[in-house]
Amino acid sequence: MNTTALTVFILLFAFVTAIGFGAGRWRRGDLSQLHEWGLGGRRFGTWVTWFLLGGDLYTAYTFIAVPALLFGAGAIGFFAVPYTIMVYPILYLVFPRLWAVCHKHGYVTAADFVRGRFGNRWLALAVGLTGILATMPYIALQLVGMQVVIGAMGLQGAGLAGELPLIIAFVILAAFTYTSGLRAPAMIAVVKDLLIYIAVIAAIIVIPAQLGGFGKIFAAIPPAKLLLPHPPAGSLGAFSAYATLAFGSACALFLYPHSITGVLGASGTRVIRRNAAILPAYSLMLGLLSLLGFMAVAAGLMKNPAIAAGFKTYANNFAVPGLFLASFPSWFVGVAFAAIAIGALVPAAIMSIATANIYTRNIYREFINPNCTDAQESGMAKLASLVVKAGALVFIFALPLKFALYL
Amino acid sequence: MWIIQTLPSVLLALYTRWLNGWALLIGWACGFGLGTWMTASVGFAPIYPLHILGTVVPCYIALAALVVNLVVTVVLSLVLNTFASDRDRDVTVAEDYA
Repeated sequence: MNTTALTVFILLFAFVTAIGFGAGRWRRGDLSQLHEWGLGGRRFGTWVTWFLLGGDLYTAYTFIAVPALLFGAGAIGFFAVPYTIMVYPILYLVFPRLWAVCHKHGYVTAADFVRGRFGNRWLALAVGLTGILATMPYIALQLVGMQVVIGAMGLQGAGLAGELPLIIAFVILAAFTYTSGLRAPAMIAVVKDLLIYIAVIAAIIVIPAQLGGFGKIFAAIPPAKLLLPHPPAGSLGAFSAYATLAFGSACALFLYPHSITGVLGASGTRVIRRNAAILPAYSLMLGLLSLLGFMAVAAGLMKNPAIAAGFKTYANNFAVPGLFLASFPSWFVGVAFAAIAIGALVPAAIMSIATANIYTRNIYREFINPNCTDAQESGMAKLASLVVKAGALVFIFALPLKFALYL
Repeated sequence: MWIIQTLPSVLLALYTRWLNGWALLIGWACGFGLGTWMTASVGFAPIYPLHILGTVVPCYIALAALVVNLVVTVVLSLVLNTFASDRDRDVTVAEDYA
């Protein structure tokens, strides 16, 4: 077990837990109103929204999976970079309109808007259910990210004891989401993003120096993985796969309930437009971060028996944790792993709040209890956020890791 | 591949109310069903090899299913709007969007 890394990790985790519980008092609002609990009172300014959306869209799973894709499959993994660039013109043009109409009519979810626009509760139900269904596996994927770094610190055990750290982390997450609503991930996101920036900048400076420069790193990548392979005759091959993946993902990203929740939490349309301009900073970081996948190839991690064992358990998802273990002193490994684990908490919290908003507004109030009071509505949302997280936890334990990755 | 099927009902609806609510619902069902089927048929991978005019075009399933969704929605809206328009059910007005 890696005691130094674990101690740093636990200290940072305890720090954000305290922030999470304290966040309910920040710009205090009446948390028995759904828009106060579930949208932070629509009061977040430019910088808080930047941290919140950055922490929400660039998740722990992204930091693990994108380099893992480059490590395993090669250049196709770079689709994540054009994808997260194309998304911002869409954010700039389209989403201020959504914010304005939702603000005017008190809508909390996309399905609320559809209900008002079309007067069709069944269409709203379809939109809401799609949101919940698409988000559940996404929450489970955040757990995968957390599971990998906890395992990488040597906290492995058989059966329930092995899963205990993950369960504890999730109980903490559930508790502060319940008490503080969207204010908790908004405040924690600031810590998370700073830690992530520190870890990525350190990695991008230190690791290439250790490996003998970027030239050596790229020289170690087989040519077939360095560029997209030229398509065979009669097929567009990897070219069209790459382009459609990037474009389709860009069209879909801001439709996810957790993205819409982040957008609607902003204090105005100007905040959203400004964020479309400054959020690409995260895409620059993602581009650098994805190169860690190539660095992991060049570092020859498989030759180190302790790290090769990690690959056996977590497959290519071990590329980033393994690279940090091989390249940095233990205390910094603790910082980087805490960044990833906290990077899982923020989106998981926002996703569970977003799905809880949908359940409450578009199923509970629409079909089950149309005459509920505001306090009942907010209470139901808090309860639903717990159910969603319990569901994700079951998801991850009941299904093998392999399956979770492909959903 | 699921969430993108809500694009016509949410994003396009921010700009136009010409699309019919029921047409959107049926279009959504087609895209959702087709996308799920395509994903299952390639063993839960994101890419499906389309065959277009003799060329193989590997395509992100979400995007292919969205095109089908849009075609169904537009064609049905054309039909439904002639005898069963639901445009009077809109509670929002143009000024709400600015």
